[in-house]
Amino acid sequence: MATIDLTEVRRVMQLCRLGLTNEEQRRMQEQLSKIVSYVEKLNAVPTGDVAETHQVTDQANVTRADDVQMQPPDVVAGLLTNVPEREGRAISVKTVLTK
Amino acid sequence: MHFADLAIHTIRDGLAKKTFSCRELISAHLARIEAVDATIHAFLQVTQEAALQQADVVDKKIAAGETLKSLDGVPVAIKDVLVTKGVPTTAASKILEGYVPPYTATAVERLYAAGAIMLGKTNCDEFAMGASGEHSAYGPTRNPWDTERVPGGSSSGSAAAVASGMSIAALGTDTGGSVRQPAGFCGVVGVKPTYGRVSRYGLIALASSLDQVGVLTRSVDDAAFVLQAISGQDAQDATSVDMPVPNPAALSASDLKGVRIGLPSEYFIEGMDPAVERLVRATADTFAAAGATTVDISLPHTEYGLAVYYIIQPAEASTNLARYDGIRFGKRVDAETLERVYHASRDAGFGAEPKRRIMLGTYALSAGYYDAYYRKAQKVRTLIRQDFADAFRSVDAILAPTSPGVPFRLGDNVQDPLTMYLADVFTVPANIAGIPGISIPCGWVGGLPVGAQLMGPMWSEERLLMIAAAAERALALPRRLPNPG
Repeated sequence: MATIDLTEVRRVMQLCRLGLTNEEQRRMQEQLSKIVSYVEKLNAVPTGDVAETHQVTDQANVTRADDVQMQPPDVVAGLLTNVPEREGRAISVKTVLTK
Repeated sequence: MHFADLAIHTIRDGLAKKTFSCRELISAHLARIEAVDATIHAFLQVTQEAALQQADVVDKKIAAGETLKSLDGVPVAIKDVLVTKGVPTTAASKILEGYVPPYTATAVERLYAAGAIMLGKTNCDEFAMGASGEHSAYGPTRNPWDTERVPGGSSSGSAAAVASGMSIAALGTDTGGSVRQPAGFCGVVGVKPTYGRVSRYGLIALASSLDQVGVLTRSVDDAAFVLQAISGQDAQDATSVDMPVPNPAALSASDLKGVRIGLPSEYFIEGMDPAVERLVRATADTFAAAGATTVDISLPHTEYGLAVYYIIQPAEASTNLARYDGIRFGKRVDAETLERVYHASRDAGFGAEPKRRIMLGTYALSAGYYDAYYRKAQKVRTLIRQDFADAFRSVDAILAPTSPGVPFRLGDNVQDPLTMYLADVFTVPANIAGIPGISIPCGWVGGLPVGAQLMGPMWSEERLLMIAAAAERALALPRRLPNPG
């Protein structure tokens, strides 16, 4: 059975920006180990020269002109209304760069 | 108004002949919601006033003698992962509590354009992650046939609303079975279209190479009308494909004579409920008696489907859910630094299941593991697609159980994620391959509904719906509604 230790859980937690409690981390370690052990059954399938499937409809190069499309004012207002903290049309965040 | 007899064609007749007004039709459904939804909890929000206003618009059209559109006046419920302008949309998550979208999903726009009337937004597993409806941050939905049991998921509210007569049709989404499995558990019809058939613009994404918007109704005929309305290419979704839209008119004359139905041995396995297996095999016999040819087939990589799914889906989910960080929309929890704002907002906003899948997906995609998990899964995905392509050279459709068992009790699988994931074992292969699948009711085990799943080749919805409609007539199950609460 694959084991994911607590150090690994904490590494992944940092990567996906989750702040789990110690209890959550312990439970996550146990559950992820179980799930990862299950999915490792794929190792039994020979896939040497098999191509990967990234999408199933074989669509390719769906493009459009690189034009700026202005949104109607009510859509812009709606987007801004959903911002948790803002000043006018600007979104407020904590300081990103410090000295 | 007898809800069990109401269907899209009877609504059209009733409105045209003025047997009932659209206001009466919508009011009756709102009254039904009022009567049973305190027990079922299918809706997160009922948009009563807007629905009645739209009903009046339809009544004016009728009074003016205007021709009715395909879904004029038909009440529909919308899974709360599809955004609706001005109507709060949460994906059943606390992280989107209070979010009011400034635009409407294309699938919903198309329903409106065909004349359908939205009754409200339906409950589901948080971000469509679950097979029971229990992972909603706003409380579980109950199965209308037995309120101690789950309705299936993740389109739990959509299935329960249609099953219990609160709505004629509902939109759901199906990433690994989330339309078909609850349809089976609630005794209704559930269609997962071919990947690319329905636009996903305005769908809150779970796993982008698997997600598809689907339909839940009480009959195959109704499903065909709704699917027709929402299908077709959309410039706003680059994965939607320009293919002829399935025509409901083809259904009435369909029969099973000469139809080749494959029965895959890998879908009748040890560990499944033997009564469910017997019922689905008896369903195959009914099809054969109606003129179909049943053929034993093999889809040899089926046993790897769930493992492929539980790598690809969390991997894609972890990237899709990275956008919820408390900055531009949704819940923000204040903290000392920007980094801590992200952590605190995501920790407070996401429930246990999204956290589990974000962790799992991030792990599978992280440096050193990508080849072993994600790349490997994408290769086995190719083999599963080939299994189906090979099978469809000799059969028109594949018949299998929708789920390995009957609806389980609330609370039974919540503590054990892997057991919960196994509920999807027969539905994930269609998503992995991108093919369409339909679950139709095929009978009862111990008073609980059982679904039979028909799968067809890419873009075969019209043919598949014809087969399903003929199958529904051959099975001739009585139409009835549960009376919960």
